[in-house]
Amino acid sequence: MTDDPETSQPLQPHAQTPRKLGLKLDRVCKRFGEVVAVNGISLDIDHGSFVTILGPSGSGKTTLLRMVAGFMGVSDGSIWIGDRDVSAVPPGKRDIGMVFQNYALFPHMSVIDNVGYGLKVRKWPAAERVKRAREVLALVGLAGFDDRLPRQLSGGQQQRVALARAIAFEPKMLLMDEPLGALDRELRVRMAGELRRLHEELDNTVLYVTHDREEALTLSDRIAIMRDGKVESIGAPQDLYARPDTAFVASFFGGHNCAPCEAVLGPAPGTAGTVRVVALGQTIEVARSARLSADAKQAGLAIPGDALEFADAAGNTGAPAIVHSAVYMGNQIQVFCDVETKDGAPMQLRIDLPGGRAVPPSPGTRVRVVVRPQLVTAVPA
Amino acid sequence: MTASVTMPVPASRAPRDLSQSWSAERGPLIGLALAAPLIVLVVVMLLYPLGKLISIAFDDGDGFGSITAFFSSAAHIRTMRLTFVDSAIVTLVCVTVGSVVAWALHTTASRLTKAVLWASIILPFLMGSVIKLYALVVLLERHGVINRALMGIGITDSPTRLLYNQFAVVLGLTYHMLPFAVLPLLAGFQTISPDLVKAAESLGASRAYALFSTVLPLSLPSMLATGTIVYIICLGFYLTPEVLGGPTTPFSSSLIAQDVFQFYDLKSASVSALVLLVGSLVVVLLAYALVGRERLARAVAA
Repeated sequence: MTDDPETSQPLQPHAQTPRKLGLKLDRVCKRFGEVVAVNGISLDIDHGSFVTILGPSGSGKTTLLRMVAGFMGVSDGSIWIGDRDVSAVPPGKRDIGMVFQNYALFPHMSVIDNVGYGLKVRKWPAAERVKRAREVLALVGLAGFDDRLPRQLSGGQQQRVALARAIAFEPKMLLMDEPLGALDRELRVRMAGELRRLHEELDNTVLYVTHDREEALTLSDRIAIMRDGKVESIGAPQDLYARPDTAFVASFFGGHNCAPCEAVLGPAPGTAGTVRVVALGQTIEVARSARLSADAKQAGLAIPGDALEFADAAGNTGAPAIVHSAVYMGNQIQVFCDVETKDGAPMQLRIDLPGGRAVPPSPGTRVRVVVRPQLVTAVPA
Repeated sequence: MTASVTMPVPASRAPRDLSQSWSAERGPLIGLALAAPLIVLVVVMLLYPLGKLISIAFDDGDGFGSITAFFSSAAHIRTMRLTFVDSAIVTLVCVTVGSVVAWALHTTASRLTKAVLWASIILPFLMGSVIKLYALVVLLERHGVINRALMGIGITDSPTRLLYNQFAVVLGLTYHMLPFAVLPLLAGFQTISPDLVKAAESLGASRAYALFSTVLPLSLPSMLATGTIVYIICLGFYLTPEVLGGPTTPFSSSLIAQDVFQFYDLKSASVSALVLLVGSLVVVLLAYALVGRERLARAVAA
């Protein structure tokens, strides 16, 4: 992987304990006939960390999770949980808890029986089972719901039962497959906060799969971004957002604009890790992604929406553009501009302006767009 | 000039005729008329013959004398026992095998597996009973395919008796009834998410325990309902026991046919038919009591 040793250290809630491996994927592959769903993924996850696999649908993230859970075999490579190779171990013997997207609660069992299921198959005596299940239910905020059936609960409550069931037997590893996907937005944000709080209280490793970048940002110590069966990039949310290392990470995860450079002038004198480029009518010095070689002749720019602003339309700084549309979003205004490029290729940029009482510019307005280089990263074209 | 006070009415709009007006709910008479053909069919083909059956069975006024006479005959008892026991075995096999097939159909991702399973259910379903029976005779007879294969491999020296016994009857009935079991079972299984089994497995259960603790309780009502359907159809079978079982393993239908066509003893036939009918009714009531309303409601909610 392209781990930058400086930035990939996870935030460790149990920093005083020596670093311990939670999950290790070693060149894991999954092929379905001709189709390669997961293509040689290697990943080391520290015990106690919260790692999110983020990717668009079809990127192989769910396949990866199902292999870790044991519902699917690996075509190649191996999966280690703790210090044990579990590639050929059935799901029940892997010491994992799993939260399903549709919760998969047992509809014929009461809440307490659902939560106690994992303890029952581990042959806990009935009294202790109930005691532990009640503890866990209290932890997720569902004390007193013991005898309800799943269908008598709301979506958010079912979600909590599913979580309680997965953590009741204190598995080393907790897997979550888009667990918040079925909830409405407000509840999703609140549950994400609770998941994070619970993670701080529990001593386990979490592997969380989602296609929602906000969830990934809120929850994760580290995020692995998947694309076409491979991990495109992995790092702390802050690093991936502020310094994306590929155009895909920049646009899919950061939501940044991607613009080609008109010319790459080589490394800036005196500063390592930067590069001088010509883009949007400006010669600027920007940070260089580790993936971009120092003597690259071509590059793209990852430009966050708030790294762009308007200059005096009558002046000659920046690039001329025409406002295509503008969306008022409360705290900000997103302005989409068609930029006039030298070769005439269409290029649309999103510019985030401060919102509040500001009035969005009307479509068709002629503007000039300038870029603030501090927030921009040069990535491979 | 009172006419000038009324609102002008367009000439094309006729005064409202209530008998022509449309109503969302039809009256009870229309419902009855629509159901009439079925009602006539039930009365003529079912209720009248049933009444006749009862009157023939009890016509000489000795109350339950004909019933006690029926149960005092060892042949009758044996036939009834064979009918009910063999049908029970067939039901058990059909529900068990049918559940496996239906669950496989429900969960498999392979289109080939699905196609093969569907073909194996639908093809026998569409074939005529006589063809199916003949096929089984060809397989099972003294010098049939199976016996020749067994002797060819050297497992047996002389032909094994596979036809004209209880085994042949159970096999034939199972073959015939399996599609009738798979289809309702599949409908029941389709309300159960395969993720439940995965969830149970991830919580530490073995595959067997996962199925036993989730799918079995959730599908029990549909299994019982399916078993009831299969059992009741089996009780009334005539052709399969006649052809595959021969005279040594008569089903009660054969008994009734014998009484009617060979001995012209309509009374005895009627009594046999009534015993069979009451037996079937008991099974239905028992199943209803076992499944229960709450269970059915849960199965639907799942």
